[in-house]
Amino acid sequence: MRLGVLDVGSNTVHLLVVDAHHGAAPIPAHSHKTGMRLAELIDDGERITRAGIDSLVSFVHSAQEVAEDFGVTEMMSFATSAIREAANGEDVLHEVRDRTGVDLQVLTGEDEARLTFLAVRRWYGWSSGRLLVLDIGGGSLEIALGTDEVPDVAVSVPLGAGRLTRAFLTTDPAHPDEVKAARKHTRATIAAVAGRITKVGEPRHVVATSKTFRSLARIAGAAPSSEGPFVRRHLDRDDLRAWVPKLAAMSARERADLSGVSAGRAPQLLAGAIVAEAALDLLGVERLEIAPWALREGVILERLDRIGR
Amino acid sequence: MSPLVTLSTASTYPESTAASFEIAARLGYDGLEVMVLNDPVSQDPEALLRLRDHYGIAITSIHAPCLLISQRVWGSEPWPKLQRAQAAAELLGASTVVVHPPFRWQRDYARDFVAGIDAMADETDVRFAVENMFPWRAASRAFAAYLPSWDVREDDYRHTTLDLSHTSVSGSDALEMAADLDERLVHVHLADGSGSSRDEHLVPGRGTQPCAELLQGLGRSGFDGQVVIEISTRKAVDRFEREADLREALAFARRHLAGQPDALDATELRS
Repeated sequence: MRLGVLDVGSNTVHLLVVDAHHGAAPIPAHSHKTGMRLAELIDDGERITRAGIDSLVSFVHSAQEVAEDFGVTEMMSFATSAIREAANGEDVLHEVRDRTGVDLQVLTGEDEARLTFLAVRRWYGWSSGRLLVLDIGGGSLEIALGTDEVPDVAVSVPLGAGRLTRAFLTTDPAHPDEVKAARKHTRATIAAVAGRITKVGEPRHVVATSKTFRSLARIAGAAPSSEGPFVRRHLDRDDLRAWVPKLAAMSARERADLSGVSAGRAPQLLAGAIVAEAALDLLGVERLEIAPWALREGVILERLDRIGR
Repeated sequence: MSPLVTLSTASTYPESTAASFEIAARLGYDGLEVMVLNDPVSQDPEALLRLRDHYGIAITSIHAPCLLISQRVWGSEPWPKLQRAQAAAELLGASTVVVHPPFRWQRDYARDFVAGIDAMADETDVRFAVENMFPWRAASRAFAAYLPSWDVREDDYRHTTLDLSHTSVSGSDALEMAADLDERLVHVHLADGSGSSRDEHLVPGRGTQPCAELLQGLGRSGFDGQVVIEISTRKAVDRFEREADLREALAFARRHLAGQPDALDATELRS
């Protein structure tokens, strides 16, 4: 059967079409997306704006049509931090349901961390041993650690690159006092949960997913996405540490000139780097590897597991 | 007379500026380069004067706060920073102020930089030695972060600083750069690098830069500027390990400047 997966993230809204059967790789046959950045379409009262709701509804409509054209027989639709944390999240879900018939399931932060962990576990397999998985989304940072397919600990904190940018980094280039405040907030937030993670045990392999980590690894020298998913890509803490002040000094436009940084993501990259550096420091990570699979693949894998043989 | 071998206060980071005075005096350095950074002591010429007199070690150069991490030190306006650096140098008897070329986003400053530095130099005996930098390498592409150029050979500066950690990052031939700068080269930041994209500031001799050859050449040519040890000891586990690196760097510089690469150095014998 053909499965449609509609992922309403904080930075992009994405429809994937997957040929689903038990044991299949979660690789899309087709993908349709928009970089609508819901996490930035939020007003001062933490509410998703009217314009944000309208463009979400219209994308969901167009995704339904694309799905039908591709012969999709089952749709899974889920949303993450942008809607979860919005003051009017419930209203947005109702409105999407009323106007499109699509019932978006809101994943909790722990679900996000858990499903991302599953995808990374399947990508590397059991030979990786105890895995620590980090993912910096637009709205939240997910951290999971464990030896099985289900992590022993899964944590989500509202430190997404988009969210942190909106809350702290309002000038461009960022004012040093803003950078300092963002850094302090980030470190305090991660430090509050770090103990729950590190007490589980020392990871054998540290893996990061997300566009933010991919961009950071890329500017620090990792292979470009054009070389495909099977090239090993790493990010060293020392390289990241050297890049944070550079990214802080550059304007968003200048960051967009860096190879591996899209114009759409350039404004958030500094916040992403601040979160990444803090997470590596506070979790004692010297080096991590970038994995190509993340939340979407985890959602698909979990669904495929439930399809009978 | 052999050139002065001095210690950058950046070499003892994260220890304080004050700690650099004590260490430099005890290890037998000829002077200090004060890197003006967040440490309030480094920003206060009166405090530096008292430290100088207390420890009896000369302040031979001032590194102006024009780094990414010192953008707000002595204010955020670039020219007043250089004026303050000059005033500090004059008060403290330092002959040289080290300056980086402007960042690419400091457009107005960059446009007037070469002429402005020249005009400032006309009014003082202090030498403004503009330092070679490097392109920032993001992935495989180079990003020109400095204007008019990271390569100080391309502009008409009266005095320049050659940094061997920076030549490592930029992939430049340090000996060739020294030869091209010729008489305009008055200041050396002695460090080493492995050729990676990181600005490593290794102990000289531990990387791939021609540190020994450069020093021997300077020794032969009667270079009368300063050789400043500017290494990173941030990862040293304690004071003992940090001092071992600072001793080794000093001994390395003296040995090669004297044209005696195999000589045992007095500082090594003492330790």
